[in-house]
Amino acid sequence: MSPAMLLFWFVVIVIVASAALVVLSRNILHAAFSLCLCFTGVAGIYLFLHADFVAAVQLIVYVGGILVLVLFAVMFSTHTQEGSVEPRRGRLALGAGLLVGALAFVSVVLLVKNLRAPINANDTVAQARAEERNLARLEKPAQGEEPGSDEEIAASKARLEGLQKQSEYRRTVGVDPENPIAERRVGLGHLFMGRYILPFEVASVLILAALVGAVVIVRKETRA
Amino acid sequence: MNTVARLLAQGPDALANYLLLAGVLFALGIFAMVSRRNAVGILMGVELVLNAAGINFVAFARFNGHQLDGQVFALFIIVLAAAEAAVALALVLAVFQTHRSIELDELDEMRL
Repeated sequence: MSPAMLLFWFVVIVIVASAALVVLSRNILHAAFSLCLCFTGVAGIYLFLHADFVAAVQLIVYVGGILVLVLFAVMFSTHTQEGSVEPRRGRLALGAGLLVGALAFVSVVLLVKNLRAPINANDTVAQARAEERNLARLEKPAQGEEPGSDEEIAASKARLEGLQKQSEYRRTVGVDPENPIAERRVGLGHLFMGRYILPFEVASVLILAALVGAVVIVRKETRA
Repeated sequence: MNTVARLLAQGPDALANYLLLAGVLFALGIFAMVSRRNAVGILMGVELVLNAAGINFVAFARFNGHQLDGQVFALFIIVLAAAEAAVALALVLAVFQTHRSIELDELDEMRL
């Protein structure tokens, strides 16, 4: 079993176990903390799917934002239990904490190493290289092969030029086209500002409305 | 049994593994929404369901030629989850201020 495989199943087990704890634990505060673990694991799954930006947003918004809100709501709305002073930590709990911390560290290192490996199938650089090989084969065929017709050579040259222009454009906007992570980031930006501009703007209005609505709902009535 | 062994061996390279994981998360989320009596607990179930949907979007996009559209949808899901959580938790606090409880079994009147 390769490290990536072990890591994948480790993350899956963490997600399922913590989600089960969210559902089953009696103490709602414990459920909130296992929800934190679950969200972190889902961010790891996004890294396995080569969605590094989504993983970062998941960590920032879910773990950093939503979870804090949930914890606030839990602590505001449940009556504090008496006798909640923490007893001394047992040796077992200490060992478990150290083990989980070390595993989390190894996971982060392996996941980040895992990121660089994939090259996007729609990558312009890879396509340009394939087109270059195609053109070379058409112009100087190996022994026993027919050379390409003039139209084929012209079409191949036009495709190659288009791909090179795209790579050049990416370089001018400050992106290294050899880097798949940057490719994805720029691709996401183009999608948000291009094909999905309307949902993007609607989402921003929605967030504003939700924030104002939340403030209005919880605000205590005060006489002016 | 053969299928299980194959999926175990394929690990992160099989679409089915992500779909199964998302299915488990979805089922656990629905279970939490139905069985929890605490309003915040139900919200946690909703969050689990939204996470499952996000995993599905990104997984299908990844196994359909590394498209990016699925990641855009996952980001929209995260945005919607944030907005939903803010409003719902504000509602929970408002209910708590008037009823001193957020156990949904005890809330049987519409009046605030």
